[in-house]
Amino acid sequence: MKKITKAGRGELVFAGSLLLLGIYVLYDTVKMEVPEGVAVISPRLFPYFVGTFLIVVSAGLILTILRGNLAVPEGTEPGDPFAPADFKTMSLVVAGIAGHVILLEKLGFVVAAAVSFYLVAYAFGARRIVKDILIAFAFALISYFAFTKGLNIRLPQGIFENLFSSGA
Amino acid sequence: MNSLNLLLDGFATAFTATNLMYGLAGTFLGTLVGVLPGIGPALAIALLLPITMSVAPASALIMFASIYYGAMYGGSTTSILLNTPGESGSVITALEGNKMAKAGRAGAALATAAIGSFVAGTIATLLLAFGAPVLADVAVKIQPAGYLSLMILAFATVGTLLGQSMIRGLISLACGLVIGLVGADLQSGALRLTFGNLNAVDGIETVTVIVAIFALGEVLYLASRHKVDEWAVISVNDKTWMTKSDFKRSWRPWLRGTAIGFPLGVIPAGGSEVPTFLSYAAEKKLSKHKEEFGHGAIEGVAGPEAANNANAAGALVPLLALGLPTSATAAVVLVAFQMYNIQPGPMLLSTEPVIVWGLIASLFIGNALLLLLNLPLIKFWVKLLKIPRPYLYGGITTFALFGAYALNASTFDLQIALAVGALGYFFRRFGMPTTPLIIGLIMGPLAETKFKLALQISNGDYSVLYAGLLTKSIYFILFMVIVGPFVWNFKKKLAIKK
Amino acid sequence: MVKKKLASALVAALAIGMVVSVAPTANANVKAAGIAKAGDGCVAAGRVAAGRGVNGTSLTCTKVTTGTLAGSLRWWYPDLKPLKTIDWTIPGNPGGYSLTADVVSKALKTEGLMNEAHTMAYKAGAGGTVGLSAFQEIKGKPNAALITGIAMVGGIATTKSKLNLMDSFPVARILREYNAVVVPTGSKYKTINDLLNDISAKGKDIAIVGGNAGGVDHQIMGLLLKEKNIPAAKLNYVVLSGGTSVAAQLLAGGVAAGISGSTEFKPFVESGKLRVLGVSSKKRLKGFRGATFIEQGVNLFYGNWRGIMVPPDLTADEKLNWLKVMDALHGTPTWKSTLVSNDWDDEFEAGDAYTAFLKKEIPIVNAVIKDIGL
Repeated sequence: MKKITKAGRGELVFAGSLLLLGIYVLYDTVKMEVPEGVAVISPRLFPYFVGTFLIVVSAGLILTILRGNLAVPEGTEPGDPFAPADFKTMSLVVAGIAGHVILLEKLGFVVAAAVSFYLVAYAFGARRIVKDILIAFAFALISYFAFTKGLNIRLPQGIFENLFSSGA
Repeated sequence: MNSLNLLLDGFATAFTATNLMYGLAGTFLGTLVGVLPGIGPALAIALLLPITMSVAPASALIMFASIYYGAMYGGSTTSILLNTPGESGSVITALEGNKMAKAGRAGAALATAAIGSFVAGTIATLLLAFGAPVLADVAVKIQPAGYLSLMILAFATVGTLLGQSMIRGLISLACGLVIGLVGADLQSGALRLTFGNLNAVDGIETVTVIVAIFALGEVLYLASRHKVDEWAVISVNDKTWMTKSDFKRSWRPWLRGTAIGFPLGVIPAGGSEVPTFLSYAAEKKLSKHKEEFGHGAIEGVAGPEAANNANAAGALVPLLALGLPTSATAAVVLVAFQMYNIQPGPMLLSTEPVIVWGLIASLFIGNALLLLLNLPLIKFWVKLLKIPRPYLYGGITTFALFGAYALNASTFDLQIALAVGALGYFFRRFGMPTTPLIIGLIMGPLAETKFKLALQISNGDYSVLYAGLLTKSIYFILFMVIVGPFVWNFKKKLAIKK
Repeated sequence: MVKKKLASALVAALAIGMVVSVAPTANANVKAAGIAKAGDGCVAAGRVAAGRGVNGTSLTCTKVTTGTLAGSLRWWYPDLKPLKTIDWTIPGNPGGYSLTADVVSKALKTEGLMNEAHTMAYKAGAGGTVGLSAFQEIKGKPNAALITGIAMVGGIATTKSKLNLMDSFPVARILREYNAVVVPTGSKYKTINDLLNDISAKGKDIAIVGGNAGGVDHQIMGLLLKEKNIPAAKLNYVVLSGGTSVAAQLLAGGVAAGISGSTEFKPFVESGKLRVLGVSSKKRLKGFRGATFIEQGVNLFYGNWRGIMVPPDLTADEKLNWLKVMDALHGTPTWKSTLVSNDWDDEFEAGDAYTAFLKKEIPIVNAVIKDIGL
């Protein structure tokens, strides 16, 4: 057995959690409440297949990794694919997405969209704060009007949206 | 010819002012989004799905068809000028196309790609127009058990053919199947994997998963790679046209690419990865300029590009006639149909002739429009690649979040998007292809429905699952595909030992 | 002299004839105050048809200023205020509900009964209860509306939800569609009774395909069995995703019969691929071949209706205005042609009448759902 690298450990953890997910699927299926007398075919049957399938393939992946067959990241971006992940940049992106999710129904679409736009742009190296924030808000406002007026799709309203719709 | 009349009716549908406008908008938007690096046709359509929420079905599907082809054209432009293919189908194009561009022959590479796509797209769409009704006529009599066997075959091929190792493709498939399980069972209403959440009762929204796994997964992965430089976009200096010898070297690869791409789209080969690779290999073998391969051989662009487009049209055959998607992109188009409560399948051509033939006609129109739009506008598309990357990713992320939210106006969907985005990151990091996940997610519930349907109709008699010629032959093929390679290896080992 | 008299008599007769023959076409819609409904024609501006409006309000003969009726004298609500817009909650994915909300909004806009374009938020899930729950959280928005229907009432019962549709304010039931039981043309069943008798004899060996579990198709099958005193346990009801899938499975064979909305089967029946065993309407439908259940001695009348609800916290004036707007819409040519083009039955009831209908309908649906074992 070859020595497991750091990347290999990460992959093992991932494969292991998929194995656990497979076991959970089986557990969930066993304790599922099935209404009596409706279905000719039990709704348990198919999830049993799927759960077992996931367990088998993730066990297979764990064996593959232990044998030293590690993954090569998908994609064709230049640079060393095995370089350790940059968690700082990643957390900024996650913060942008999470900020959007949290703020959307509290402060409205425009603020939420501007937050995700700006934080992700910042994560990728945008550093001209005033210009970036202005662009983020312009993007959010234009999208808001395109979606709501152009496509009749309702989006959560906050201070900005109310400001404009009462003026219109 | 009946199909011919229907196709002419289709042109009448597509040529109404409204639909022509949607078609034009679709080609434009499709190219626009497809040009953006890292966005392939599947994601492009998924991102643009909300746009059609307030549009009539015929117009919306015409728009999707145009987006589909547009995104493919846009993708090849990026592969050639930037070496950043948006999807697996353009990887091969980048191989030779980018080298050609670096050698100052970007114009010729773009032209052979565009004309090749047009030629292949037109021939393949014709084959689609005449092939789909034939298949649908046969398919009318297919019983649920027959569909189930076809789906199992598709799972097996998609799961094993794609990606760097068989096991990783199967993992991806299994994850898709698990996500597809979430929600209430259609027949009994029994709840699965919902964790007591009311929002999860109707299952995880497919569009949310697609948008999140492609777009958010991509952005997260790029973020993890730390350094993001501005792209080196190769500018187009030569005239955007081909020389006589370019033409001479291109037309056979175009036709061969079409011949390889179309049939591999009809059967479940999991998208354009396999056919483009096969086309490339064939051109390399047949070329009189073998020494140019690896340094920018025009055949290596012409063939795979044609194969890619023919494959896309081929994938529409089983989608329209059987309701079975064989690639991630076709799966997204299926979702688009389902949004309008239209279930593709053998009845589609008779119940929705206006939509289907309008769609097929608009593929012809879109294809022609793209050829006209793409080459002259190439400077405009190149400008898009100069959007600063921070803004581009900010925009993609926000737009993806909108796409995930808009369908159900639900923040639950956004939370799912974040989780699936993380999964998409791990998939890329650990070398797992995403197509099997999408196929599993969309076809898993369909397969379960057919499985239960077969058994419910037979009132619990399991022999129905392998009754009939179709099911028996498909399971035989499946058996050979799985067992065949083992036997082959075993024989080889024996031979070596001797 | 005689000649002259004859001639003038002839002229007079002709004139009267012309008046008689022309007048009815010109004033076809004119209705006396005693039988008037909103949108009917009238002759003397300012006259009042007491109690002929919605919820006992009165209609006034008014010169309408907006929409397709503009310029004509109509029994109308002079104090009607056009809606600003409608922010719909759609309790499902795009489909029947969104189509209805969309055409209602467009008809309102065409008729000048609404000023700005509508918006729609799709809240699909759990038999419509996700949408209902989201809608009932909306407070203080006079433009919010929910599109609802029998499927939601069934969904509340099926999911055993604690939500009550009546917690919202019922505006109007606007249309109804009917369902048909069909078989492949070569089937041995000729009438609905043939099929039900066979189910009674063979039980679950007879597979029936139809729409979602607990939906209107499923309810009708349950009710048909009940009418014939066949135990619900004998029903092998196979759920498919809608009318087209049902037709497809019938043509593929292997199942006995299918049930879905009559409009979804129409093309197949017309092309002779499917045959109708029975329709759930009271009388035969226009443009759809097939006898009713009632004609065949199975006393069942049941249909897929859709209606509109608004939040309960609107002021009394706002609520009444909603009723007036919908009642006025019902009387317009745009709405009439909308009904025709969608093959919908005009089953309009607004205000108190709709509330009374819901109070009767909800327990019926609950009982049916219980009977079929969901």
